[in-house]
Amino acid sequence: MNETKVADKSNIKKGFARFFFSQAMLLVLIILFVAMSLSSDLFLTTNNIYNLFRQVAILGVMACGMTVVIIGKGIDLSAAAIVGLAAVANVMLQPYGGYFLGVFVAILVGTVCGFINGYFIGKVRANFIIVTLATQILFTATALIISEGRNLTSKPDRIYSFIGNESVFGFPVIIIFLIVTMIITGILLQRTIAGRRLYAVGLNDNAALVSGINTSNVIMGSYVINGFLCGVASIVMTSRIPRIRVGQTAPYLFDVITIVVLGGTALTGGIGGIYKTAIGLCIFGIINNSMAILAIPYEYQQLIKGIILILAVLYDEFNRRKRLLYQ
Amino acid sequence: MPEQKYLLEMIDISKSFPGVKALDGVTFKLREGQVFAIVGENGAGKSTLIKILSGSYTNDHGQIKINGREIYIRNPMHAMQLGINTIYQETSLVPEMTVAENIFLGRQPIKGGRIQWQKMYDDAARIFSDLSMELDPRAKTIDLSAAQHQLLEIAKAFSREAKIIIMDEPTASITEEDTENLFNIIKNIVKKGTSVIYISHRLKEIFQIADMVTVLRDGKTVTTKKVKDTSENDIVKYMIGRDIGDIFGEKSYEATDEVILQAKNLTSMGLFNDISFNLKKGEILGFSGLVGAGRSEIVRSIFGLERLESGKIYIDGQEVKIRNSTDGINKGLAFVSEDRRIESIIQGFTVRENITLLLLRQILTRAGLISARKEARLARKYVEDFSVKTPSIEQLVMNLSGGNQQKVALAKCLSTSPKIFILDEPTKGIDVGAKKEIHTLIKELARSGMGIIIVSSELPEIIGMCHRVLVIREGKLIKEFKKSELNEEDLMHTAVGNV
Repeated sequence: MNETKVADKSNIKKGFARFFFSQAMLLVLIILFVAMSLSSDLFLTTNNIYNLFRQVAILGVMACGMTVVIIGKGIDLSAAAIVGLAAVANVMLQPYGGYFLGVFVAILVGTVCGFINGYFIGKVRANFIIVTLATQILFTATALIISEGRNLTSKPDRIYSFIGNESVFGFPVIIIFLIVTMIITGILLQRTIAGRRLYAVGLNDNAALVSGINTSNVIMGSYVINGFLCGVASIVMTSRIPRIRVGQTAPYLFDVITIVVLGGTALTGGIGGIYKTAIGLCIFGIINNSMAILAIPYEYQQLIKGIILILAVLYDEFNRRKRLLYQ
Repeated sequence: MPEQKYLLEMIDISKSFPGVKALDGVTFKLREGQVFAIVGENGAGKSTLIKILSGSYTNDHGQIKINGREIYIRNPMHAMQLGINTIYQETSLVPEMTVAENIFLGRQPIKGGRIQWQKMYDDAARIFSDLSMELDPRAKTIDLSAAQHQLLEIAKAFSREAKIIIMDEPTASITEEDTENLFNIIKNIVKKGTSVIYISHRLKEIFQIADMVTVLRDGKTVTTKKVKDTSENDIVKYMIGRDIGDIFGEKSYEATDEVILQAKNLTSMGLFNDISFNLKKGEILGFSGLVGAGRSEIVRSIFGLERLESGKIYIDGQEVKIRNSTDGINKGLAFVSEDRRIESIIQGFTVRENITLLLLRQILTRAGLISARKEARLARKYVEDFSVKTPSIEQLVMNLSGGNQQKVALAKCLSTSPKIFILDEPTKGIDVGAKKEIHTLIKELARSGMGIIIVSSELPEIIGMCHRVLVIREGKLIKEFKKSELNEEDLMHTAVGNV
């Protein structure tokens, strides 16, 4: 009797510790939020919160794709380049077929880019870092060649800029767009066969293979989805910022990886999800926004971002060891 | 025995992990030149005890003494300096280096900044002849067999002047003949004054090699006895706390005559050659032979995990082409790999996610999404049917004991209702209780009409379970044994080739 009581107690303790540990980033988010609300009057206003999310909406859409890839034990260093190429193709074709053609082409370009990555990584089994490092240059170069290095401007169109700049019932469409993307990706990961298989492959591709899962297709699929979502992100971007320049998307890569890792999706694959990425996105958004409110100079902002990614990787490593310990 | 001092004393050792008391007041005392066996079911605390002794964990309570002096083992390096060497199941050898280099890794004889290769080879050769091992110091370690790896590890520990060598399941992946050789070597090093702590699931071995045995159960010492004062049945009783009777039970039924699987001239160059056999409905067919003889490769190729260069496979009389495991599963096959951690189950998945992995199509809602309710119901059913001991279906599989992990693996494979079930070393590293349950389950499956293939290095298992046994040597099918002809000596002799 006594023994079971002790066991119960330690189970509760263990459960509590596990909850605390698994929700560490949620805690960080709450602390950050409260701290910022207390330290600046400018922070907790509807306008600023909307603004905060507007600033990270493109990153949020990209982060959904990156989460998928990282769960499959990969990473896509070409994500920002895909967004850039898709945006250039979109804007350049709009004069010929309107924004419908543009949107279609952006998605197509993104998906094809993802397929190229996925083919080499999933089917050929080439190293994902090198492949996406190569395609990053490749996609950027292609964008430069077709745009001849010019700045491009999207057709000023009310309907097209609806996603990026309008509101419905006072709520910014871009945020709705972000939330919907996150929900759909979340369902894909948590509730579909493909999603479950992706986790299996990410955790243990050998066992997945023996269980009759076509691991090549699963990995390829993860990059295709990422490419597709990069195409979607490029639409959000061109709708919000009509003037684009090749290379303007490059810094997104760093931010997107930071967001996903910060949320707690494991770089070792198979662990994490959109919920975690959403928390990562909020934390990143608040820091980003706060640095602007507090008027921190650009160089220092970069410095802080670098430190945050290091901290995020430490958190990832800490999680990994914790898991090993319980093994 | 004269009043000899203890070499090592572990007194009242306790160790807790969050929520689990892995060791609870364990005491054991080792004399010089003794072989001390530690047995217990998985999860009894053997590994934790070893890890404390080898410096990977620190104990929460209790004392460790060497030669009567209390010590505190700081880390694995420190343990080695104290003369405690541990040989784990996965060897710590560098495959690309020569045998001698592995022995002297990190302390090669150096003169004038250069490694003295000749001296290193000579020294290694001296150690081998000292221990009467037949190993070539210049051979590449990668070319050695699993058994030779174990010997090399022993030589390495011996050359470090280890006072205590801990062996964790040294015979898990080696054949019975190599086991005998290993035991001779152990006897040699013990004669030279080294003590051995011997961990094994194979109780028979303990009676061959050990002087003393300690049984652990649930982190506590159940008993410590001289081996000659006890029996196998006694130890099993202590291990599981109850009588389990004959380990294999009765083979009370016959296989049918209906051929379910036919393999014709299966060949894969360098692995196996011209293998033909039949499997009948309700039959348990054994594959015996040395590790590396090609047994696993043959069954893996049938399931689609290895490439077949030529040969045909018929299921229910129909020729089938199986190019990958998806084909294998679709054709009614199921396969449990010998490597549980790496191939059978997904350690980071919950019990539920592992069990339903092959059945996801059956638990979809009308919208095509996985139904949490249906999934949980299905997982619970399998947990019950296979009596998996787990606090809940949401437990991560890596937190279960080896036996329960294997049950989850079986449940997963059987969820597709296969006609043919292939098991590669189904009870490797599994405790006695769970082993018995798994054997019973396999027999029930056969009785229900499934065709079953078992690959096993454990001769008692092969003999106790199978209707027919095929012995494979160097990739060739050497001999078929009928049930009535089965005995350990003949199987062994056929496997090693001295008939």
